[in-house]
Amino acid sequence: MKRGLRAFIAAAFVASPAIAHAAPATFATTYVSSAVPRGQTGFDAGVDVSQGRYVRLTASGTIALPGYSACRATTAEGCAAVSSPSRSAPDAATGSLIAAFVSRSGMLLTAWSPVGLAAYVAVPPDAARMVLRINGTTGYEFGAFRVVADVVGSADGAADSAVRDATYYRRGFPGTRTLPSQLPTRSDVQYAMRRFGFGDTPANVTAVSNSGVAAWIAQQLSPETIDDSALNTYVEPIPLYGTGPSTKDGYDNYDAILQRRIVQREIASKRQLLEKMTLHWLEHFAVSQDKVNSAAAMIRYEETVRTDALGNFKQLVSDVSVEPAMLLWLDNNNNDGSNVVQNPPNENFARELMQLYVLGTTQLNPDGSAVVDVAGNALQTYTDTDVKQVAQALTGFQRTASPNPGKVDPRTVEGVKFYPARHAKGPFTIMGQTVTDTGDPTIVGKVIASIASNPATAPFEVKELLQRFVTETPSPGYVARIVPVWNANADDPKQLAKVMAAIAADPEFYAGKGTMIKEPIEFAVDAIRGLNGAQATPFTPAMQTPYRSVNTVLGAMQQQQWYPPSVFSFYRPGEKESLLTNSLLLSRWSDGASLSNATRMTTLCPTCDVNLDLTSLTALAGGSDAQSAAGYVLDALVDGGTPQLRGLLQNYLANNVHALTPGAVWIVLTSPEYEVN
Amino acid sequence: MFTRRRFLCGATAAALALPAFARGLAAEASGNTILVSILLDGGCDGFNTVVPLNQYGIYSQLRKIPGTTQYLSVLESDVATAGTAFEPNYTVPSSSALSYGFHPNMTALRALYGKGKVAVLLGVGLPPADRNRTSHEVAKFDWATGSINKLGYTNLGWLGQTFDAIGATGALPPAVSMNYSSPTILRGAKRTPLVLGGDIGGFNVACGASGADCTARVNALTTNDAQSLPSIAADFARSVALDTTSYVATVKQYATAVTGADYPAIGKSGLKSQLKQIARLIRAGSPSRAYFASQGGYDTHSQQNSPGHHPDLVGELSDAVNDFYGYLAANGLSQNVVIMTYSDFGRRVQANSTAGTDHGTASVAFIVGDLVKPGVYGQYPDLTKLDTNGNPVIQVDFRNHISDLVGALGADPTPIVGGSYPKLGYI
Repeated sequence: MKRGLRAFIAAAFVASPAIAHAAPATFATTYVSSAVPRGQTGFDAGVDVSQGRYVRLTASGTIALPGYSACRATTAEGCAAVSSPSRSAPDAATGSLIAAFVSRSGMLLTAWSPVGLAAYVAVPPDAARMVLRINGTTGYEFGAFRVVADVVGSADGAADSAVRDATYYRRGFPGTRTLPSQLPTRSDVQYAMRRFGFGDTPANVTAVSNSGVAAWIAQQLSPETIDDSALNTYVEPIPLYGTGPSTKDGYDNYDAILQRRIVQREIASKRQLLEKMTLHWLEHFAVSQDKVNSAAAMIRYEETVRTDALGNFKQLVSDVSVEPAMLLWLDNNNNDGSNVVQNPPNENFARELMQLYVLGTTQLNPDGSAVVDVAGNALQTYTDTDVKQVAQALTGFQRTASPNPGKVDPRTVEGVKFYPARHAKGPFTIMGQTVTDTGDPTIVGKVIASIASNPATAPFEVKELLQRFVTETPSPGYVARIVPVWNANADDPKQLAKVMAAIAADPEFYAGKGTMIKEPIEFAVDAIRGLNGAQATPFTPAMQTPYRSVNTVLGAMQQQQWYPPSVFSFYRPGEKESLLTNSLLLSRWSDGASLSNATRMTTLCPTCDVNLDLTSLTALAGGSDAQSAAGYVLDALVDGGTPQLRGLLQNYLANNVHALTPGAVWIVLTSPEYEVN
Repeated sequence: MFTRRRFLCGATAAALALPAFARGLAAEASGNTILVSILLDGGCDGFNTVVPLNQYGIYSQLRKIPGTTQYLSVLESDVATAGTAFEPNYTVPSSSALSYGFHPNMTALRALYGKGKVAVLLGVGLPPADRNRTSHEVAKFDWATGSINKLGYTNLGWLGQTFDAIGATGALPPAVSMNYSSPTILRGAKRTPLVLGGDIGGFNVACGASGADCTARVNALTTNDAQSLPSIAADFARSVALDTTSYVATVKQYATAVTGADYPAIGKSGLKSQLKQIARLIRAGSPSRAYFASQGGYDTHSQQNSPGHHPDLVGELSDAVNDFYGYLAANGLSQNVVIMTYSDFGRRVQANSTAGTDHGTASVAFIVGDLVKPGVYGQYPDLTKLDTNGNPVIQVDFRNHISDLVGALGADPTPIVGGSYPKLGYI
């Protein structure tokens, strides 16, 4: 009887002395077949990697299905190397050998495939063992392999450099003994730079690989230390009030400037994590120009969010709460608390403040799981009575807009004023806590401190950060390890930077690779950055990509910046099903991939609002042949891609590399690989 | 307080109020019923959609905008002028009706009601046992899954589960979304819903090139199956890509066969556009049996009666449903199509200080089609008996309502709504 099992390899572990750093040693291990339940890491001993920093494997063996003959060829990679997987040929069992690092408690940390290409792979912190598994198409495959695993303290650069050229998409380290402090695989670096930023060119990925991605992350966590002055000359200036284009429906309007500015910052800022965090919070605290209808308020709002994006959470929420855009968006503007019995205040902002912005509807354990009653029902964090109390507490604020300010910086046009006479008198009782009231704007900070002290806050926010930056389904353990960092720094002005540092340093961070789908804005910006592209500034009305402007493309992909459809923003963080539906995928193929038409092959396109730079493809790729060109595009966009995609690109480019390069970019942008974040 | 018995009494009374011949008019539900569900996104104010003329005094009093001399309530005179008043007996003309009134902008739906094509469900909503039922997220999720207190435990919608139970084969999936998103209500364990957006004629790949280059690009796109990339996200993207490419030809065939040139003008209405695409698919013979459309803007916390808000929305809804039904009927396709509306929740009876209403509980729902036994189901909540939050008492548990619809599609509702919730009998 077939069981729902993922075939697995158990190890006959050959004991060996612990490996000292910088002292290469070799394990010779024979693996035999064994099955473990799907998704588990297995009960075999694996190979002890706790004393090593890098692992290099060579493997030979076969993969088979029960009841069928093993695949005919035996190579370093098993059957996957000799036949493309096919579900219709059960007698040619297929699959690939995957290696995985496991923590001392048995938690899967990270996996890679295919093994056996003699590349060095970094041992993540906290890894205790390395085990093997088979990634097959049926779930029943098993195999027998002989594996030689070098667990070493450092990699031999000279030996590795020869390997690198032959195994492009799974590169080893640069041919030098100056090793990255950690995370040496190229796709690990690309992953980190894509999640904590919007990706980068192959040259910049190499630079970060050489200096160490940990150092890059550390720098990104302190954006004030990064000189970003060049950005000011790149980003389109904000027109003085009353001088911007005023048409609402044309392409050349004030909204369009706001939309282009945010994309320009994402493309060109050296403070990549700050921009990614800003994007996160702008989606967390989504406001739509559709209702706010004030570009001046939106500019202020964006700058406030960016200022606090890596700062303190309570400060961020407090600042956002009294922004003119938020007051207008959730009806807290001019909310009257002078007679709460006859004249109940509007509850819109109060409710979303608790439900969406700070703590969610259900009580949470520190690992993010729901607190349940004896019947298994989740318990609620707040009641409608709490909503009314918070609504009353936050009455009295009014957005002030200069009616005729003249030609001034629009950021000075919008303001907020507190009217004590329209503020409900405290104290207030919020989720059992008493919040005192002195009848002044300090009430905002007090209310938010009270709400944020709820135990659900940290797991709610941490889980959402993990879902945005690491994986759609973070493990309870991951949430539980970050939550104490959040709480310990609840009053620290750099709380969020410290939380992000802990997220990146966690052993599960790199297990998020390949688990998420790009948002449309990431689809566009990652492509532009990966291919050294730029948006033209200043924008002129004649400028479009050969088909459309970048922001029109974003709109077609249903992520028009500054116009989220609701308070829930565009998508649930990281949810694959909402990010990629049939129609959304077609818009990525038809509209998103049309960015490839902006590929700059020779000279700058003066009428394009974006140029993807492949002018120096020959130099960059080290050759103008199809293989080099395909390799370059794949490295820039999909961490090297799969052998299949590489083959398709090489065939496509075989006729004329330069004439067909936009098509090659199109093919990569429409591949399932590129959808992966 | 809500009890099932009270609800049953209400339903029975409503059913008995119908003339016998009226009940006999309705066609029989069968295995080819098509359900079109319309989400009134944001929490539709039931009180200003079906006005309680028989409780007008208290209704109007509660709807006074605090601190002003104005009212959020619909004027009786406007209902009279528009001729949208009605009785549970759909044959009673508007001029003699005293019980209820559709919003004055809903003249088209009132006319359909008079033709015996509409069931009006009053006092429907999520029960008090549903914690956080006044949260958009929770309420929408519960309406989608047909369950309460299960957020985080399941993500299967009641329509998705219906098709899991009855199975469905065909060139297109049984469940289709029209608004780009993949709503929870359609998600099943067996077949991923088809998600469309915009004009179905645009459901295609634009390759960005022409001639041989276009062919080569699309060949590469369809050849690449990314099998060798061991990644959850790539697996998912690949499966969406395979599904999508396999649906393109079929959707194109339907879109070409029925261009909808003879469909009433949709203007700038997103809802009318979605319903038009559904009508094209139905007329072209698509095997799909459940469609999801949505109309946003119902979260009317402030300035509820200003342009573009509640009054305009219900008018648009009324016209859109009437156009859709009329098109199907004119083409002999209305016999097995049921249209139903639902919303997150109703709104508070009492107006707030920003001329709007906050999140409430009970609302109204409409079920439209030839299969429908016309009239009123459930009961209008007693506006003198509000709960401690100022909300009316639910008269119909949403699971009873869903049971009727699951049954109409041919599945047993009991396992889907998690218990036996007697049908209301409007189909």
